[in-house]
Amino acid sequence: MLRKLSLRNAKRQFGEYAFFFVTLSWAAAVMYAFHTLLFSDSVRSLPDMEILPWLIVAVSLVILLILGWIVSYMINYMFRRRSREFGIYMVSGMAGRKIVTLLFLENSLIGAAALGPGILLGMLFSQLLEAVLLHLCGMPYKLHSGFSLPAVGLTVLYFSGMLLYAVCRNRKWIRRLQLRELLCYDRENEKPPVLAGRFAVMSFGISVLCGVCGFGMVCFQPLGKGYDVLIGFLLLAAFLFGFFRSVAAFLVARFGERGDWKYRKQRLVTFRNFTAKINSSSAAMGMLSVLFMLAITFGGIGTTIGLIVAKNVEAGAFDIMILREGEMGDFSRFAKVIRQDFSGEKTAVRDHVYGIYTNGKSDFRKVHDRTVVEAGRKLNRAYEEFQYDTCMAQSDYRKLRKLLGYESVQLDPARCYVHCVPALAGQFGALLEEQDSDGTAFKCGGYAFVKEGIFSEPFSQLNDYGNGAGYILVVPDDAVAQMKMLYSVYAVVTAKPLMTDDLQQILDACEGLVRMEWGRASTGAGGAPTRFYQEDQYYLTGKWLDKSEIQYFYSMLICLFYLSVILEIMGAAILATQVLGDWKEKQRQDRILRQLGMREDKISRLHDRQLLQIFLLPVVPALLISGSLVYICTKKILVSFFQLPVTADSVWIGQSFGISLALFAVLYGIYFAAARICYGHTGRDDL
Amino acid sequence: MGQTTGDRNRHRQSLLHVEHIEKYYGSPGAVTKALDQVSFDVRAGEFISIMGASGSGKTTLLNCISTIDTISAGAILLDGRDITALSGSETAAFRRDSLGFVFQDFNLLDTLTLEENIALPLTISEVPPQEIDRRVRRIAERLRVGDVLRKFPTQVSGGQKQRCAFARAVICDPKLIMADEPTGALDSNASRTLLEVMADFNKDMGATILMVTHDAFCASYAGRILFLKDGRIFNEIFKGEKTRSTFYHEILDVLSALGGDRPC
Repeated sequence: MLRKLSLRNAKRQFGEYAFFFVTLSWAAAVMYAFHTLLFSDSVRSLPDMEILPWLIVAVSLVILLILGWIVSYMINYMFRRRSREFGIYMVSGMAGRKIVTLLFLENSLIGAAALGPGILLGMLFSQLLEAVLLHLCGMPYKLHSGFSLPAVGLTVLYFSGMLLYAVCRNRKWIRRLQLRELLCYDRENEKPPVLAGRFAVMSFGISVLCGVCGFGMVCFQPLGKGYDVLIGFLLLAAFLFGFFRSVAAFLVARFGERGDWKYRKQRLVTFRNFTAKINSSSAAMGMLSVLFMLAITFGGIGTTIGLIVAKNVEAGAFDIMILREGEMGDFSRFAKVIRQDFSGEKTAVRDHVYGIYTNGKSDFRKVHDRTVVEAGRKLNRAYEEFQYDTCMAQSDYRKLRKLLGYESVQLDPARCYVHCVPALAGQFGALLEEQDSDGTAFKCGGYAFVKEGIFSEPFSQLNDYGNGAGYILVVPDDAVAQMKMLYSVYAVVTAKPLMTDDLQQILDACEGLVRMEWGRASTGAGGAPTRFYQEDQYYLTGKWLDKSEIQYFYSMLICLFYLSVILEIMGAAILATQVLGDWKEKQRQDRILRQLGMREDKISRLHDRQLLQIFLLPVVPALLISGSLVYICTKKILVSFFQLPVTADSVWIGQSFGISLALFAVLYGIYFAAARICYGHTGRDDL
Repeated sequence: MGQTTGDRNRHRQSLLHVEHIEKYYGSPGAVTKALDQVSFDVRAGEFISIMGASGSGKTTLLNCISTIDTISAGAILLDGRDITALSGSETAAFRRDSLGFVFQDFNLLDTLTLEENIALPLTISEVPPQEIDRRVRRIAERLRVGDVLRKFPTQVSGGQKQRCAFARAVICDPKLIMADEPTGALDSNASRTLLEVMADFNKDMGATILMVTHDAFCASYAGRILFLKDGRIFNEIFKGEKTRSTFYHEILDVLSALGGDRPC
C-alpha cells in the first residue's frame, strides 16, 4: 500500500518536482561523465595525470555532501508545502515512521527515474569530456562506446548515499512534528512578511560594513600574511548571512514608508513580494549566494589555469627545441629523425641551428630584474646561463623570424637590436633612450643599438632556456665571434602540433637526448643553478614539451569545472523550484490583481520583474565576492607562474572572470528562461 | 417579443440591467444549466441581495455580472453599456473603474499591509501618491481600521480584514459593489459591524451593492432580495418600510417555501 501511495504521489508531484528531477538528471550526467574518466584506459595512460582519479573521487565526495544537503533542503521544502497532506495521512492512522518511509520511497523513485536519462546523457558528456581532456593533453581521441558499468555502479552508489543522507537529515525533524503542527503548518507560516525595525537596519549596516572590510582584507591584504585572507573570508561570510537576514527589513525601512516611491509605477506589489520572499527564505538565499560564489570562483580559477597553459604554448613559438650546453653541437641525427617523421604531405619541417652567446655584461639584466620586482614578482636567483645578457647573431635571427613566418625586418648590419617579451619592451626602450640622450652610445660587442629596434613577438622567451630568458640582444654576426657561446639550439617548426606520443617517439629514437625538466637542476660552475644537469647531453624542449610539463594542471582544471558546473546547476535549480513552488500564491495574487482591473500586460511585466529580482538577488553579492577571490587567486597564480606579466594582469583577471561568468550566465540563464516560461503558464488560469 | 416604452424607460433609469441571461457548463451531451432566463434590474443606490441554496446559481450570476465569467445567452448592461462584449483591456478598465469586489475569504494580499491593500486599486489606476494617502486615510477612518493600517493581514482579525477588503472595494467609488458571502468567514459581531458599514455606505454615500448570501440575517440588511432556485429567479421581496426584524422573518418564510419546492 505504501509503495502504491508513494508511486502515485511521485507521479502526482512530478510537476512540482520537475526542476528537481531535471537537475538530478543533469547531476547524474555530469557525475557519470567524470566517473568514466576513472575507468577510461586512454585517460589512465596519460602521463603526469596520476592524481586525476584521486581528485575526481575527492571532488565527488564533496559533491555528494553538497548534493545531499541540497536534496535534503528540497525534501524539507516540499514536505512543508505538503504538510497538510501528511497530516491527513497521520489522521488516517499512518505512523510518523511510515511517513518517513513514504518520503524516502517517493524521493528514491524520483532519484531512480532521474538516473536513467542522466546516465544516457552522461554517456554523451563522457565522450565529450574525454575528447577535450585527451586533446588538452595532446593525445589522439577515438570514438568508442560511452557505457562503463563501473562508472554506472559508482554513480548509483553516490546517488543512493546522497538520498540516504538527505532523508536521514529530515527523519528526526519529521518524527518530532505533532499532528496539529502538520495540519496547521501553512498557517504557522503566516508570519508578518517583513517588520522594519531599528535593529534590522543596524544589522544591515553592520553586515555591509563586514562585507566592505572583508572585501578590503582579501583584496589588499594589509597585514601581508595569510591571516588577513582568513579574517576577510570570515567577514565576508558574516556579510552574506547578515545581509540576507536584514536586507528585507532595511529596504522596508528605507522605502516602505515612502508613499511617493512605492505607489508609483506599479512598484507596490513587486517591492512587497520581493522583500517578503527574501525575508521568508533568507537562509536559502544566503546558501545560494555561497554556492554561486564558489561556482564562479572555481570557474574563474579553472579558466586561469587553462589560459596559462594556452599562453605558454603560444609564447613557446617553436614546436621543438634541442639544446646543447657549451660549443655548437651536432644536431644532424636529430634533424634526420624529425625531418623524416614530422614533415607534412606538402610541408617540410623547417629548422635552424644557431648559438646563444653572452657578452658578459648585465645592463639589460638589471632592467629585467627591476621590471620583475616592479611587476610585484619575487626575483628568483638567475640560472647560470642567464647571469648576464644573452645574444644571438643577426643572420640567425633573420632565419628564425622566417621560420616562424614573421614579417621580415631590415636590420642594419652594424647595429644591435633587442627581441624581448612585451613586458620588457617599454623598459628597454627607456633604457636605450636614456643612454642615447647621455651622448654615450650604448654598445654591445662594439656596435651601438638602434633606439627603436625592439621586437616582441612570441619567440620562446617566456621561460628560461629558450632564446634567452625574457630577452635576447640581436647583434651583428661579427660581434658574436668574440663572445662565449652559452648553448647551441636546434629549433624546429613542424607541419602539425605534436602529441605526447610524438615527443616520446623522438626521445626513443635519439640516443643521448633527454627531456629538459622544469623542476630539475644542478649547480653550475659559477655556483648558480643550471638546467643542464647532465654533461654531454642534448636537451629536448619546445612548446609541446613545456605543455606536457604542466599537464598536471589539467587535473585541477577538470575538477574545478566539475565542481563549478554542479554547484551552478544545483543552485539555479533550488531557486527555480522555490519560485515555482509558490505558484499557488502567485495564482491567487494574479486573480486579485485581475479583479482589481490590472491589465494582462502589466501582470506579465510584474512577473518578469519579480522573477528577475529573485534570480538576481543571490547573484549580486556572489559576484562581488567571487570577483575579488578570482582577482586574488589569479594574481597569485600568475605571479608564481610567470616571472614577468605576459599580458597585463588585469586582462588575465578580466578574461578569467569573464569566461567563468559567461559559463555561469549560460547555465543560470537556462534555468531562468525555464522558470520564466513555467511561471508565465502558472498564472494563465481563470479568475 | 418587443420592449414596451415603459420597459425602455425603466432600463434607462436602472444602473444594471440583466436580460434573459443563460449560462451552461460542461460538454455537449453533459450540459448543466447554471442560469436559466434570469432577468432583473438594479437601480443606482440600491442594496440588493441574492439568496438561494448551494448550487442555485447565485455565485455564477455574480461572476457573470462582474465579468469574471461569461454568459451563454442574454445581455448584461451596466449604465447602458453591454459588458458581455468588452475586449480584454476594456474588461480590465471596466473592473477597475466600475466594480468593487468583496469576497468571503477577503482576497487580501498577505505581503501588503492593510494600508497598501486598500491603496492597491488606486496604484493600478495610477492615482498620484498624495491623493492615494488622503483617500486611504479617509476611508480607513470611516471603516474603523485606521489604527491597524500598518499591520499585515495575518496580524489582524477577520472582521478587520473584511472591512479592509470593503475599503479596497469602495475606494475607487465604483458604480457597483459586488459582495460574495462577505460574512461567511466572520463571527456574529464582526458580521454585524460589516453589514452596518455596508448599509451606512449604501444610505449615506448612495453606493449600489449587490450581495450574494445564503444567510437570512445578512440578507435582511438589503432593500430587496432575489431568490434563486435551480438557476431561475424564484421570488423577489422588498423591505420597504418594514423593520429589519420583520423583513428577516419574511426572508425565513420564503426560504422555507424555497425548501418546500413550491412556488411562492
